[in-house]
Amino acid sequence: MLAIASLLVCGFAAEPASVPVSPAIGAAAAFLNAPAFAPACSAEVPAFDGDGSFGGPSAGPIVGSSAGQDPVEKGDKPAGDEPKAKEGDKPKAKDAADKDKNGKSKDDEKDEKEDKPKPKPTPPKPKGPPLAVRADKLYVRPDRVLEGVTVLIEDGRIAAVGTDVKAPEGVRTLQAKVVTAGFIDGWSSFALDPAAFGDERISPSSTALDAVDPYVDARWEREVLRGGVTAYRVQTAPRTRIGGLGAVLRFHPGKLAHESALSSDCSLALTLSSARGGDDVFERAADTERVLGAIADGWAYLQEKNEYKHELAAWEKAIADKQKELDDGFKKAKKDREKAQADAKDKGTEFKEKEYKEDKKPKAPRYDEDREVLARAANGELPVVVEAHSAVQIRALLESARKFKRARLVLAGGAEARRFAKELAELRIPVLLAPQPMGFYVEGAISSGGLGLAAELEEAGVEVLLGSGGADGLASRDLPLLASLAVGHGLSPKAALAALTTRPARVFDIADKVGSVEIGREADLVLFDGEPFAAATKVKSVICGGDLVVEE
Amino acid sequence: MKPTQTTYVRVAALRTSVAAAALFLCSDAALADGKLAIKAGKIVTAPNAPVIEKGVIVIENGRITAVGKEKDVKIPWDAPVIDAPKATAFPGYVEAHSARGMDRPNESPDIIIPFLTVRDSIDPVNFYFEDCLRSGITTINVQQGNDCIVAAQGMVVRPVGLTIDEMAVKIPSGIKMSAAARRGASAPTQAQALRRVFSDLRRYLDQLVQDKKDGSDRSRREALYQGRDLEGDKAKGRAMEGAAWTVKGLELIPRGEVDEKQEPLLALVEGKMPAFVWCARPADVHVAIEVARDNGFLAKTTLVIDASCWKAADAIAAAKVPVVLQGSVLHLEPDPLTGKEIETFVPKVLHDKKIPFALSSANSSNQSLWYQAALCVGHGLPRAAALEAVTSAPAKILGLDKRVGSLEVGKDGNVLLLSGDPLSVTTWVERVVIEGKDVYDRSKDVRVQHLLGGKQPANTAAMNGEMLDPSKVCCDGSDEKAHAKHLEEQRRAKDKGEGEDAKPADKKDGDKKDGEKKDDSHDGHNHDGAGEHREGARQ
Repeated sequence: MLAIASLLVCGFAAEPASVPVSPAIGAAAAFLNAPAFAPACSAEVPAFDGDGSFGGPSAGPIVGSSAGQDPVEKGDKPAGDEPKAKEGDKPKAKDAADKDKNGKSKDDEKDEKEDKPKPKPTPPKPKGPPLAVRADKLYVRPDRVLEGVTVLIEDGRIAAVGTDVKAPEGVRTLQAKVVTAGFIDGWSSFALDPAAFGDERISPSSTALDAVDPYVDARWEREVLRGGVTAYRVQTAPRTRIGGLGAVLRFHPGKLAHESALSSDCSLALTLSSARGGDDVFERAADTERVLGAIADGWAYLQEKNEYKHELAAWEKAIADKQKELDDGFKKAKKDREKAQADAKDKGTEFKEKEYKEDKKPKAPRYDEDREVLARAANGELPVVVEAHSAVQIRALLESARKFKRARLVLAGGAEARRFAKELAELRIPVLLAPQPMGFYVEGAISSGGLGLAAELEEAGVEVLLGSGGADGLASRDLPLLASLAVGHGLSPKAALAALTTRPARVFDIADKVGSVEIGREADLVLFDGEPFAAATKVKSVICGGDLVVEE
Repeated sequence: MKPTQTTYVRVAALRTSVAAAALFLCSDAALADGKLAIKAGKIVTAPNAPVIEKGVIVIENGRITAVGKEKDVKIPWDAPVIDAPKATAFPGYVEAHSARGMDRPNESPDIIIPFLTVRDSIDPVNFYFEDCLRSGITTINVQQGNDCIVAAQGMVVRPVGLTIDEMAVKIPSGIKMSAAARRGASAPTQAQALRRVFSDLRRYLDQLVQDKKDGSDRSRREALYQGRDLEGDKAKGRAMEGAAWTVKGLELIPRGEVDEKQEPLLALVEGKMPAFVWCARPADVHVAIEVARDNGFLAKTTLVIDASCWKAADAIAAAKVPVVLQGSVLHLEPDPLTGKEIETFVPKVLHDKKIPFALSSANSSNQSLWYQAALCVGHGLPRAAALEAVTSAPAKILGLDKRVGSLEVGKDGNVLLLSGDPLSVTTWVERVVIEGKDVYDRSKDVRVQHLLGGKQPANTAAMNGEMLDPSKVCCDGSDEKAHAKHLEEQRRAKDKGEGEDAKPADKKDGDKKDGEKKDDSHDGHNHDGAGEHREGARQ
């Protein structure tokens, strides 16, 4: 694999502008699609992530059959550490997705505009100067290691990766022993409005971007960046039943939160808590049912909308037919009417108009922005992060997962997930663990979860993600430390790296932007002086969105 | 009742009854017709204009017809003259946003009430308006609703008149909205609620058009079926305008059919109504600008901001919206790491970023506009910029820059006669003329006279119910030196007499206090006892 003289990893999202322009590089380059060289390293990859993308085309017949819909497109995003996925299918599926984007009629676009929340306009900011990173060892992805390579960064994106890539003159070059993609904290509460934490008015369509303080002190951000964490996912209200739409933001000290946002609606969050309902077991069960009922509600809304679509189409056709029939028969109708009027006059009786009847136009289901979001979640367009710890709650979650096959559920917390490892693996439910540091006690986390939980789940084939748990705004800083604790208790370093980069990127649909060091990705890089997750290793520099934000 | 009412008579004598009737019909009508000339030692026509020494202002039918040196301006023979050789004439201050002067502001959270107006809540005899005259404020935008989602329409008034119509200058001044979390809510739900107001409006209008189309189509088919001739009776309507979005086919809807609760919001989206958006935190500024831009009323938007919003100055400058700074001009915040207090002088930030801004009275008479402007100068803002922030800038924000904010020909005759520099703490507002009407005279201001221990007006009672000693009656306020001399004498007399007089009075007070204390402690004991008793009973 390393024998390839020059390797340019071509990302799906690569734009013409991000392809290296230097003819020397271009000529030597062997343009390869990411999956093409994947089998070479598939042997090293544990079984858990050796399969197709969860919720993607291989997630089940239901999703696979919904041609042209979002799930297909999303499932096909560069799939981090899933090298075994059907390679042949991918480019095709990608083409389909592209066609879908371009070949949409105006009406479709209009519909889409109305249905989906408008992304916030981000004012264009001047991009930083180009940078080059010379790495002795580069983790393109956890399962793909290159040695002695240079990463070229232009316009905030990765422009070239290769052994013979040379930085153009005048471009600053950084040296590092080990380089990885920036870590993503899948579960944070950084910069979150304290009032939003427990606000019970939060509904599914509340967005986390509104809850984040864009003017958070940059020194906090630098503090977290020094740990190697470059992005974080926040949920509008982490303590309420329904936490609204989550967002993935960056720790960029020079930019406002929404300027550096990676996603403004990356997930829907639900929280099951045995704190609610108190001692009454039925109360607790009812609460769990109510929270998970949101998915059922979204599904019902989706059905209503589909039903309406069909009814409307049928009605429109019937009316059009009727219209044609009437237009054709108008002359006769007029004659008949005149005749009837004359007859009536002759007979001295009252003239009666014929009564016109037609089917009523079907009524659209009442628009509800919250149910719109729930419908997206139930349809798998939006991952649903469910915080649950106890066995009872996890069992309820698994039931929901079986019922709503399209929904992409993510179990967060999962202190007692060990007992369901097999089922979780079977249903392809990723588990977002927060190996709790002492002092931030989450119910049952230590007694039944403990530090070895990640390794145990991984062993059973469950896809494990790591997050800081959002117990404290600054907890994100300790995420790499928590990951090394998990490594110390049996999790493979490769899996730990995946749990902080490719997996959260894929689960939260931002794999086309971050999570790996591939061409076209936005440049979030961490430069280490040794292997990540080793206690003696230091983060030397951090590049966030192409800008050098931490420098030794 | 305002004591200043009595002073109207002199000027109002020239008013015809016909004009008086017209006054109530149109808010644009001048407060007073007839003429008035003001001779002042100095005239400052605008913050950065050269001072006119020994000048004259002539006001006819409420508008200024001439300003200039005494020798250059001819005073009409029939104009009454206010002669103030020691005074400085200055344009009346303009308050761009005030939540005072109302009987009961509607500050219930969760409400969306763009169809209501403060007109129904303004209380013409509210003490606030009287106080405005004392501090030289002649134009006020009364606008409430910081705690709502979409609050009522505000209105611009002058602080004189016994009815709303008499006070009205501009109706409405704009719709008030809040981007800041209302009571019991958090920022995301507020932003969501605000966005929903406009997405609901859009859906409502869409539905309106759709229903119309469906209905009319059906009637056409019915006519075809029955063989009747079609009668194309096109409903009158107007195509929707809007910078951000429009609903196609709204011309089918006679505008009268649009729900009056939604109609003001439609006016907003069509760019026909100004908006005032309250922002308590810098994050709110982004929400406010986003909602205004997405719904096409950014050009008509004014942000009412808290001092903390200086952090979002770049966003405000980029959006090119003016702001009203509410509350303190200083923002204090502890450094999150060191705990050390960081002080930011906000008007300077706004000035440096070239953001048009108006100061406001912090909803308090003690920190009135002139005082805020003086504070700004004290913190290093250029004098002209500070004065503009209480005159021409708020006038522009209210869309009244052709009427108020400076003393120029054609503008309203809103003139303050000050005893000195507008920004000096020793300066008094001696007289106020609003639209050619002499509405305030400090020498006849009962409350001021009383508060200063000054002249006791005839037939009025002092606070304690006793008449003041007539021997202590002071000068009439026009002769400063005599006044100062008199006060000096009073103080000396007081110092002298303190030795003998003060003691008995103190003792008397002390006795009374002691007695009260005793009563208190006695009561307290009783309560305690009762408590013990109850506790005992429970046990």
